[in-house]
Amino acid sequence: MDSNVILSIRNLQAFYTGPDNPALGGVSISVNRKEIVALIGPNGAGKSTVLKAIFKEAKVNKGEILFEEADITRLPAGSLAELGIGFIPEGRRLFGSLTVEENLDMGGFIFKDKEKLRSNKERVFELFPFLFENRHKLAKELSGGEQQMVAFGRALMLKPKLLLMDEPSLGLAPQMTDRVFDMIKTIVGTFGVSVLLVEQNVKKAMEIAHRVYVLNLGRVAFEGTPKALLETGDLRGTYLG
Amino acid sequence: MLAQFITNGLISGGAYSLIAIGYTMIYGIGKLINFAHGELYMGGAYCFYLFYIVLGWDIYSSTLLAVIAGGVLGMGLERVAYRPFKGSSRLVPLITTIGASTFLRAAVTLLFDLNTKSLLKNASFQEPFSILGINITPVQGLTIVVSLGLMSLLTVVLKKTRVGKAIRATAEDRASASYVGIDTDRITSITFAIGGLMAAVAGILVGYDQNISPNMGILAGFKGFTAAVLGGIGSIPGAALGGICIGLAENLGAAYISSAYKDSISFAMLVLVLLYKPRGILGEKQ
Repeated sequence: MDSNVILSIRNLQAFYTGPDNPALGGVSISVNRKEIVALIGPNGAGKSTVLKAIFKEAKVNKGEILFEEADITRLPAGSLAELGIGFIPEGRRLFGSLTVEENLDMGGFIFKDKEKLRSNKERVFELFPFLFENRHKLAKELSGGEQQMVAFGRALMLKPKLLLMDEPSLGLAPQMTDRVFDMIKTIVGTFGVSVLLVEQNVKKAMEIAHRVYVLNLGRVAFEGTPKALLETGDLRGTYLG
Repeated sequence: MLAQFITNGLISGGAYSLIAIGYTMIYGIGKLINFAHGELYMGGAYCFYLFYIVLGWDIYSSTLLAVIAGGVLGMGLERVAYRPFKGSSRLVPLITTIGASTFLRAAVTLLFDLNTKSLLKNASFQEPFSILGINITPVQGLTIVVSLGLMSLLTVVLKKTRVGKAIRATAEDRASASYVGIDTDRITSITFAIGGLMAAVAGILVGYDQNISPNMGILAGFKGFTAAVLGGIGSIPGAALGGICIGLAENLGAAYISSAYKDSISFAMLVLVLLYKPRGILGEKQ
């Protein structure tokens, strides 16, 4: 197997309520190192389910998930952080009554070594000075865009190799959306992580993605570069609106 | 006279607060009302009785080991009555903890019988002395000091330590906590241990003051629960405050209305809180 591939999902079938009601009907997706891969498609296409299956919020029926060539299909959600997989769930899901700094501390929970925690935190503060300035504020007191920054920071505390992002721009004002996509680009540039990004904002996602998968009805309907997707005009009309 | 009633209120209130904090923390982490919590309080007192009176160990190691036993009992309760039912309806662990409560009371009754027992070897612990016109026994003074001290210590642990922050994070969003690599099962177990520990401390202190019986946890558990709801379930400062409020209301009520109503006062408060302020004094607004 190509060692440049960091995440490889093969023929994944997943469900929420029961196996006869699958949300994913056999999806194969791969992410290379330092690559931004966008997962797009209409509502209910199963985009988020791909991420949720990795983090055990959806149940896997068939298929396998390989991270750095190791099978993680059955690993519990709590042990993925240790491998270097960060998850930024939909709606950010911060620890609202904890301060910004405590949220970051929790992001680096797996590091028992205080020195390592501190140096990771400094790197995050360097990237997002706003977080340093507001480190004593409670996370719930921040605006949506600011909370998204905390969510990025918290996930980066892991020193992840792969970041899974579920709708990071959801519910944000347009200027904030622009900033969020800039942040993603910066994160990939600075930390050298790979990103699997689920996004409703197709235009923005295509601007930063190296490769795109279009999902429809739980199956991959298109795979390729954003440029190639734009050239298939009918796909665009059918799935992207 | 008023000062005396307030002091009495702080004594019983301190113990209620320790029980209430366990309720509220376990609720926060597991979204579960632990109906066996009063039995952790009773269990701590009986462990102390076993070590100190039956086995004749010295008071310090008996206390320390009984408190630890309370923590272990809490962890065991989580393992038996909560963890196997994770993911099932929230009613299930409610019923299993009721079952555990009945089991623990029956087990202690079988082992020690139903009669009340005294924890006292040294009567001077219960000899009241007078400061500023208030009569208080050394044990009662200790109850106030220890409960306030333990609550402050817990606050610092939750605020400053890695595990403390993880407890708060897990209580806030269990799934998110597991995403960052927190072992939420372990954190739940630790939280039950802390709850058991604090309940055991309350049980030993109150047991010293008023003797123990296998059923001592029923009323104390209900009052601790009331304190937790009054303070706002899930809020630790709320539980501490709720406990003190219940203790004060009970003692002032007993003094100025009738001592026959002492126990009913806290239940009347529970009904009023549930009717008019169900989120409690410091509960989260939604």
